[in-house]
Amino acid sequence: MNGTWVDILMDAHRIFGILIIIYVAMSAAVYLILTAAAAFSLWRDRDLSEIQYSSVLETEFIPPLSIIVPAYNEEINIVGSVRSLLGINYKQFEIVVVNDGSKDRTVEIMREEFDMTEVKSRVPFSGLKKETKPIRTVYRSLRHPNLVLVDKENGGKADALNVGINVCRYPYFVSLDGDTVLDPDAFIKVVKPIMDARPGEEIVATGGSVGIANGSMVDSGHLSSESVRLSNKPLVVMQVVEYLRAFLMGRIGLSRYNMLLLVSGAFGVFKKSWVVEVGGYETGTIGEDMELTVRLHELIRRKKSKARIVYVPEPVCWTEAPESMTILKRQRTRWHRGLYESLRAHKKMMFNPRYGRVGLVSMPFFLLVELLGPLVELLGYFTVVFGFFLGRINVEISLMLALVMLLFGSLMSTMSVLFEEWRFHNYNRVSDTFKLFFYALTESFWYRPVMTLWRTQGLFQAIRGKKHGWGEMTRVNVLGANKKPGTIQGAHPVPPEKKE
Amino acid sequence: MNDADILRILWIAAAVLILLIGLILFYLVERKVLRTRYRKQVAEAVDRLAAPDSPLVDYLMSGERSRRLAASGEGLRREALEEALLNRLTVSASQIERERIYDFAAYYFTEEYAYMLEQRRWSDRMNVLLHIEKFQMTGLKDKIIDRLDGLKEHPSHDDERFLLVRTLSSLQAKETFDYFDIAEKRFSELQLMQMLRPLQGELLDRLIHEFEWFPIRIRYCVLDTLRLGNVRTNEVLELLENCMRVEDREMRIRALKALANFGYITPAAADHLEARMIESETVSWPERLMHARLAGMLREERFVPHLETMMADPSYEVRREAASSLANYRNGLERIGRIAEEHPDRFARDMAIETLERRAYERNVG
Repeated sequence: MNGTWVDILMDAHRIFGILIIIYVAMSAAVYLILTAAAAFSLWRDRDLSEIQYSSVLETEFIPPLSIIVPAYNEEINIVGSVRSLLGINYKQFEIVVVNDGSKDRTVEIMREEFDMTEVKSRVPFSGLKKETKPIRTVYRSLRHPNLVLVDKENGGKADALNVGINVCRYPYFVSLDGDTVLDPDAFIKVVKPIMDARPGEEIVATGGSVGIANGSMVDSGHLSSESVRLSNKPLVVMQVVEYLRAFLMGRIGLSRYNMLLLVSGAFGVFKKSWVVEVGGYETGTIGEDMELTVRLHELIRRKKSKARIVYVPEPVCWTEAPESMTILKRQRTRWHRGLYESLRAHKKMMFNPRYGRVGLVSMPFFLLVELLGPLVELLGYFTVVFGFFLGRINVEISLMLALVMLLFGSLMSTMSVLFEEWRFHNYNRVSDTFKLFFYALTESFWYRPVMTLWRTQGLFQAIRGKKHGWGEMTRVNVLGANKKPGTIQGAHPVPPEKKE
Repeated sequence: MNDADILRILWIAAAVLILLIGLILFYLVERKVLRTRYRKQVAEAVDRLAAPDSPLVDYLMSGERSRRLAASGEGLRREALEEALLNRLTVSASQIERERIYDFAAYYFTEEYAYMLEQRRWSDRMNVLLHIEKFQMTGLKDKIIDRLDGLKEHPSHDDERFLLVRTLSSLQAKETFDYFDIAEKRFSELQLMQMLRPLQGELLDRLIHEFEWFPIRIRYCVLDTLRLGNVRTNEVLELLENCMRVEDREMRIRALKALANFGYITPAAADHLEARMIESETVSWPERLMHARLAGMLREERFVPHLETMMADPSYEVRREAASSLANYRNGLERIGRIAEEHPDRFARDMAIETLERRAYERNVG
């Protein structure tokens, strides 16, 4: 009796081990493919001169943009943010600040600072077919005719964005987090794909890389490449590596095949007509940006359109990364819940050939690698420990396997540092390169296991259906808590496997 | 497969990975070191060249190339010179100085740029095109045409094609016209505008005279280009007035927009405008908006009643435009004041009040 139990356990363990090996091999393959795709894109553009933007900037042809800035209890930052936006390098734009029923003096401060008067007439209405919380008043600045303030009742960030979409005038709008620090040429950089779209090819949305501002000098709300410095804090450097990998490898690779599922909420340009057609932002979700992107893809597929969602590798905005474990944990579990929600809401697209590459490749990728990855990884650790007790583990092989996976992860990280150097050279000192490289090597020993744990926790929270509180959703200043660095958390050094 | 085999494979994998990581790290650090050093040298050289007593500044002031200039900053001459000259172009540069910069560039860079246009590296070719454009190096025109003709049809070359054509047009090459057909198929509207906008003089005249023969997308963009370039000739006026009567709605809107910028139309065209304003119910809102704008520029009494009607237009944008057009008229603000009090439509009254507030503020500030 006892013997059969052990046998079953052994068999189960063996099968489980094989499954995990297959999983690891497949996700490694996916990363390799993404890296190759990204390398291919970046290789062509390496060392391209910055004057490509100056010649575009001088032209009057750049499409006008509506910049929507949702604000909730932002009395401290809002004036500074708006000022820095008014000073951007761009020919024609309007700024729509949407006050989401703040409890502080956001509206009063805006009104005083920018000489805002009430707009009496009905404001333009884009025809978004979605209930929004009622607008109290619309103000327009007398000093800056392109500055509008919408005061509405509280309804969350997504609701504020929807109101902004309704009120704004131009065919393209930008969604912006209140605390995003912009590159001075951010708008030109993200709009370039729209300007360069071939006839018949529509650009539905574009987004750019998000960088980490900690340690850099931010000058009146802008951060240009020359002033970027690498922070000294290990936790921050680790996140820099993580962001580089996520943006430079993951997103470029996915965008190349029009499979990008996420245009970051921190900074994205969207074509209004498409967003209106899909019904705007979904309220009550955490990852409203990913959710919207997925729905845009769905519409593109349904219409059999050639429209594209494009990613610009250039770092266009900078965000402050959490420097404490507590906040980082909150951020990561939140992202994971958001990912779960978005995927769940669109499960009919999953493995559905009608949705082409998005349904067959990127959705499953996000499900299997991104969402379930941490769980599988944890299970892997358990399998090893369990195997050890069952006496089925060859210590030597296990250690070697662990080493190989670790090296593979490091290779991926190193590649992303290389990509950064090819295209942007933001971190100019050699010591920075070594620092990034060294941290990339140590990642697997401390950062990664912690992330795995938190993300798994996030997954369970999501499955249990943890609701997100109010403040959590709207407070855009929880040190960048609304930004996703994207998708790729590095190759998975899944734990060493037992012998066969 | 036994344990030993697995172990061997793993060892090999680990070795390969370590080798790869090592190689990348080496490449990365080497690149970084070289680049940092190089950038520093270039920056220093640029500073030297920008100093008031540098041979380059001498030349730009006097127009004479000294021997000292030819000898300065050998080695990294090109990049440092390029940067120094570009800085001068953006910062100051009188017409004479511009000419001197172009002469200088033509003299020193032509050969190297011609060589670099053939480089295998895409970003090298793009960078050199951007510089040719900035330095107006007409001598390289034929090279660019060769390159364009040698370019494969495939869309993956469209970025390069566009930059080549744009450079050609900014060099005022008449051959630009030969590429209109492929441009209309491959370039975005904004790219087309960038291609058309630099054309001047005879080439601009050709745009107007041969208008009818161009593909439709090019024609749209020509209208916009004329507007942005503020071209004011009788030919342009005639062309725009013709275009405001065509079947194609998009064409009409762009023509109206250009006419509003032009600020004048012939009496016959004004009659047509009035007729269109009367039948406004069948007209789309962007076109109504342009009607309002044009009427505001013309300031002819007969448009006033139509603008007043437009103050109650269903579209906010049209109301706003109508109000600001009315404000341009003699006694415009008084008229708007009356609308604010008397107009039967609430939206019209609201818009009138908003306009008055804005104007009052602008008066106070200005």
